[in-house]
Formats: sequence, structure tokens, C-alpha cells
Amino acid sequence: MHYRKTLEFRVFSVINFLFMALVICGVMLPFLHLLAVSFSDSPANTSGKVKFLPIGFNVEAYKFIFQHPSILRGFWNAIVQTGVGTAFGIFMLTICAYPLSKPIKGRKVMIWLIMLTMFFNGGLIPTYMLVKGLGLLDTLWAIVLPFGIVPYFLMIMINFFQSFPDNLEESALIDGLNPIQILFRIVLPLSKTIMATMCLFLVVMFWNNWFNSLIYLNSPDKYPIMLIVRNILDGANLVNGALAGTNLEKLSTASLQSAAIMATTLPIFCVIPFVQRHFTKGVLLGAVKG
Amino acid sequence: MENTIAKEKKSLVIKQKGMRRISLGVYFRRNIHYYILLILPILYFVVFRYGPIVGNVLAFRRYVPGGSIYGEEWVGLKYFKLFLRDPNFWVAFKNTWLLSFYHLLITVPVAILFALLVNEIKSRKLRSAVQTISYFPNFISIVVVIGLMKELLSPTYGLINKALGLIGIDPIFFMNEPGWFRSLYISSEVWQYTGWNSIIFFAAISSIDPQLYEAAEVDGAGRLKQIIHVTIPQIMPTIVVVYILSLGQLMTVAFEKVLLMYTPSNSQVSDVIETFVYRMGLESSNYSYATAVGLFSGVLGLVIVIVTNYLSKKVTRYSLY
Repeated sequence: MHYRKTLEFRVFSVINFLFMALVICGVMLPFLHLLAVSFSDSPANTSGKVKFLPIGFNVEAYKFIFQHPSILRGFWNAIVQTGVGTAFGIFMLTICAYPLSKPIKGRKVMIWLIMLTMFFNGGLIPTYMLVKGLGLLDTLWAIVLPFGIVPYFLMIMINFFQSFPDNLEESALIDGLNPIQILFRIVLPLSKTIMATMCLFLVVMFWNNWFNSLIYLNSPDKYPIMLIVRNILDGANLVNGALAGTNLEKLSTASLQSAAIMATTLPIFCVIPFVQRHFTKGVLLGAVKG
Repeated sequence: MENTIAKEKKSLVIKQKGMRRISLGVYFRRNIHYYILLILPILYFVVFRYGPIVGNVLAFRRYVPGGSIYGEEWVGLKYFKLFLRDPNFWVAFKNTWLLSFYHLLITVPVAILFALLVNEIKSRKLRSAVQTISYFPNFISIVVVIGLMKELLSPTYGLINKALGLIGIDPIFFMNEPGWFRSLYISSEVWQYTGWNSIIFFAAISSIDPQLYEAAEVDGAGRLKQIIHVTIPQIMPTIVVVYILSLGQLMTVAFEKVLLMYTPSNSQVSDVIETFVYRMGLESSNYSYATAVGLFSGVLGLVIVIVTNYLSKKVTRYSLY
């Protein structure tokens, strides 16, 4: 597109540029501040002197986090939940979306029934009662099974499979493969983009989960890290009790909380840039047809 | 694009049918593998999606601890009458509406505006950098976002209050002040989701025919006028669809976030229908009562979507289905 270099053009560009700089700062500065706080000395933190650079250098908070047994267990629980949940979710999404992308009988009805659950779900209590009734309370399955298929992700997958060229599959059919073999041997190896996208979404969903763990898990030794972080932010007993033994002069609550936030968020920050190009495409595929 | 693909796919089946009118039995034998794949997903939807929907009968039945999850005896509309007379419910109801209303009013236009401005960045590199950075918060846990807010807004050491102190304003305990709750809720939503929400608008903008802009420029339209007279009308269908979709979520404000922001001192503004259901159901074990409230708001939400979609179809010709 060609714009003439008018005064309006220049003013607009400058204002726009300043605005974008503001957006970038608005997103990054809070994290920079937390990072600084997590490394700063205790007195500087409690007096609120720390801005975007750490005052002093202090890794006590991170030491505490990576040594405390229940926090470490929280990380492990989150990894298990995320791993099992993502694997199960990807499997269910794939075997559901593939047939529904084919012109089989009953397809329309099924998609309509799935769409309906996007707008009308059972609600908190009936879902809880069901999980309870199935005897899943306080097990990993309560966190994983009810979230096997997210309708919105399913729609994205169906749209992706529909845009897949037919010729390949037709020739495979003629070669005597059945649709299940075609899915796993031909279609899936060519669907890495969508698989990476869905994996990222599921990983983020399960990694960030705290509420489902709060209501479905009773024993604290099964809590994922995010629920523990939430408890730390609430100033729960875990911290106060455990803090007794550590050097309080070096470790402030603020730096502990900041370190907890950093430790749970950084892994996700590290993954996103690598898959970013794929997921915008993936989201759009699904978004085109609500 | 969608349609042509669908048509091509259809031709596959018609070919199948065209060769010889095949009986239902033959059809199923030919396509049996697709249905085998669907067994588990159908089971999933029946159990975990439609199971809870059926479980809503609990709203009409009395639950006995240790008894059936579908309740023990019919009590009719007893629980509905109960909560409709509960002033706390009406407080939660009002808070839900207000929060959702402000949310719709602010977040969608901000996302549109952001997409428009990002689109005006001429450097490709800068544009993708801005976008990538603006997506980050979308992937962060709500727990972390609330943690960030608490840290930045703390009355004793928070950065914001320190900055306010410089211009002579006394520390404000933002997280505890009922008057600040809605602003904090909305602004954190804007902070977290604007970049992500703008993807769809950005895509809609980039698919606009460049000739339209050239024509507008020939007619003497400047940059702002091109946005107003070309871009916005062109992305109207997208805006309508996004609005209808968000209306579907009208009765379900970001429940987890509200729960995290909830303090006894801001309860008058922070109690929404879903936190009400949570407290009544899971904390106080009034399962039937809470189910009735949940069912009421769920049905109301569904009705809103249907009505909006219908109206939108009539008025703007754009609709979800």
C-alpha cells in the first residue's frame, strides 16, 4: 500500500509508534519488576525501593523454592498432570476431529450437539457431582478426563482436517489402507503444525490449572504447582511454617512470591516464541467459522 | 473457501452413491472405520458433557448426603423460589451483569483498535515483535496475573503506590477497595487478552482487498479516513460474530479470576453468580440450591445467544449459524 508522505501520515506514524512502545513496556515491565524483586535483598523489598533492577543480589528465594519438598512435589504433579492431560487431549481431539471432517452420515447432528455444549454446559455443581459419582475425586483422572475434548479446539482441528487435500487419502484408500491407518500413517505425520498448536494450548491449559485441582483434589501432596503458588500468594501456612527455619533477613515474602511466579511462568515464556507462527495460523483456521 | 472444500468433499460421497445406489448396510460397512474412531469421543460427550446437563435435574430434587448424585425426591421449583427470594443472589446477579457489560463494552473495542493500529505499522519486523509480545500474557495463569497485581498494587511496597506517592497521593489499598474492583478486573482483562483477541481482527483486516484503499486514496481519503470508511465496514462481520460469541459468555464472567480477587471487604461488588454457586454448592454443600442457580444462569445465557444471533441475522445479515 502506498501512502503519500503528508503531515497527517507522519503525525499518525509517530503517535502509533509511541503507542506501541507503551504496549511493549506495559507487558514487559511488570515481569522485569518481579524479576528484580525476586533477586533483591529483603530490606530493599520491604521498603519498596526495588524498581526494575535488583538491589543487591540474592538467590535465597529460588533456593527456597527449589529445595522445599512440597514445592518440588508440586512441580512434579504439574508435570504429570500436564503430560497425561495433553497426551489424552491430543488423542481424543484427533480421533474425534478426523471422522467429523469427512462427509459421513450424522456429521451435522454431531457437530451441532458439540457446538451446543460450548454455549450450554452442565455447570459447576452437576459436573462436580458427576466426577464424585464416578469415584474420580482425589485422583489424577478428575483433572484429566473431564477436559479430554475442548469443543473450541475441536472446531479448529475439524477445520484443519477439512482443508487437507483429498488426493493423498484417496490414493491410499485405493492402495487398500483403511481410514484409521490413513489417519495415523499419512494424515498425522503431515499435520505437525496443528498438532504443535494444540499441544501448546493443552500444555498451557493443564499447566495453568489450579481451580480444578482445588475442587477435585483433597490431599495436598497431589496439588500441582499453580495451586501451591496461589497458596503462597495468599500467604498460606506452607510458607509461614517453613520460613521459620530459614534466614528471614535475606528472604522477604515479596521476593519469595515473585520467585514463585517467575519459576512457574518462565517455562511457558520459553516455549511460545518457537510455536508462535503456527498457532496464529491455527487459531485463524478455527476462527473463520466461529 | 469453506464452502468449496465442503462441496469437493461431498462429491466424494456422491461419486460413491452415483456408481450404484448403495444400501445403508453397505454404507456403514464402507465407512465403519470412521464410526469406530468416534466411539470414544461420543462416549466422552455423553458422559462428561451431557452427563452434567442431565445432572441438572438435581435442581428439582432434594439431595441427601451420601445418596444419588441425581437427588432423592422431587421438590419442584422449591430451590428456584428460594434463590429468587435471596437478596445475596440478586447482588451477585447485578454484579455479574455489570461486570460482563463493562467487559463487552471495553475489551472488544480495545482489541479492534489495537488490531487497527498494529496494521498501520509499516515495518514487518516491528509489527511481528509487537504482536508476539502482546500475546504473552494470554498464556499466563490467572493465578500469576493476580499475583502481579497484588505485587504492583501493594499499599506498602507496590510500585504503583510508590509512583502515586511521588505526586503526593496517599497509598491506596487497591485490592481491598470495593470501588476499585471493577476497574482492576477490566483493566487486567485488557492487559491479558487484548493482543490475543486482536488476532482475529488483524486477520480480517489483512484479507481486505488493497484496491479498496487505493480507490479511497484516489478519492482523497487520508489515513484516518481510510480506517473509518474502508477498514471498519470491511471487518464488520467479524466484529458481529465476536460480539455474539462473547455474549454467550455473558453469564459466566472470568470466574476463577473473580474468585482470586475476592476479599471479604470487596464482596459487595465481587460476588458474581458463579462465585455464589461455588460458595453455596462446594463450600456450604447446598448442592440442589447451587445447581438451581447454575441452571438458571446457564439457560439465561443460552437464550441471550439465540436472541442476539436472531436479531443480528435480521438487522445486519451476519450471524453465527
